[in-house]
Amino acid sequence: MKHLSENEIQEYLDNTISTGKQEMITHLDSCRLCRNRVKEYKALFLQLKKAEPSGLSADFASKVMTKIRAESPTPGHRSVWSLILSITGAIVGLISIGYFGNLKLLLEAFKLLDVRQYLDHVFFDELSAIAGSLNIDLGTILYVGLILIIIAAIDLIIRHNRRRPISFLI
Amino acid sequence: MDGKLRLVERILAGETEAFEELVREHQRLVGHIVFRMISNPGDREDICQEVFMKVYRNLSRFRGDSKLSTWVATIAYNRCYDYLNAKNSPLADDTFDGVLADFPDKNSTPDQKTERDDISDRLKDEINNLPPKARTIITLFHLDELSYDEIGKIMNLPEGTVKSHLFRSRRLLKERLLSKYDREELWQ
Repeated sequence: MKHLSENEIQEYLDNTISTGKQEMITHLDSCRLCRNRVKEYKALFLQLKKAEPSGLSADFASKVMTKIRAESPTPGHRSVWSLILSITGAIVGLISIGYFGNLKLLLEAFKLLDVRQYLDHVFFDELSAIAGSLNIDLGTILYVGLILIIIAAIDLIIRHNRRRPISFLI
Repeated sequence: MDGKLRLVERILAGETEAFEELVREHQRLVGHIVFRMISNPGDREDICQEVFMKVYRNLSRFRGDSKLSTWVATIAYNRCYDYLNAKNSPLADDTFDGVLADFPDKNSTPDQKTERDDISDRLKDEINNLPPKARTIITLFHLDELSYDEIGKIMNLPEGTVKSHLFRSRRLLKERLLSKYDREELWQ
């Protein structure tokens, strides 16, 4: 067998050789040159184990925790709240435009953006008809949405001030 | 349930203080990545803190598909990647080509060779002369004992590329040490 390559020696020491390991061992038994090269790598690997980069400060975890406590609520709750607030805000915003403004204004905005060029004419006409025939008490929906936002905001303030995750909604 | 997953569940359930346990368990690994990737000592600890803040904020996204350590390490690596890009030191230029020529002590005199006797310190200097990716790979493999596959997942590299960086780095380091020390010194 020819001498082991640099890569073969490294794979041998990493113990990641899939085939031919026995042949390598046999060769190493009889080849002083390859044995010495293995020895060099072994020495390097031992040194690499000691080559610890300079570390973090002793109070690193405490510093992180100080920031975390200032940031609470907990990550899971926070993401649920963000989602609820975003969706509620979007719905309330749209309804507000339709209720306090004019639904036609919203449709005009779509027209200004020339949405028609992206939408099928029939679809756009049907959308206008449905919007016009809506018979929902938009004021009630808006009222409930606003209350939800206020409750969520109070909850966030309480959790932030206490610096620990409490929630009376979730 | 796996211990790490249980820890994540506790934090998500509102036990914020359990996050300190997560930090303590992973700060060495995160430190290894950040300290190897980022040259500016003044920025390193701040980046480590940012990494753990990001881990905390995104913890609900951890599904246990990979090991928690791999997930945390990936966040650390990506943060370093963004930092280097922002500093106009993109890792795309992270090759060995310039390093071979740039090694400072290539033609050192015998006097310079004896300047620093501590092999360990010398090796640390030589590691710092490697490209950021290579020095990170060598650290994750030898200090954190991660597999080629795990390192590849963290750094978004194929396993073959990880091996290639690792083998070239180690060969280079061996040659650099042997150019400065006798074999017997190295073997001690």
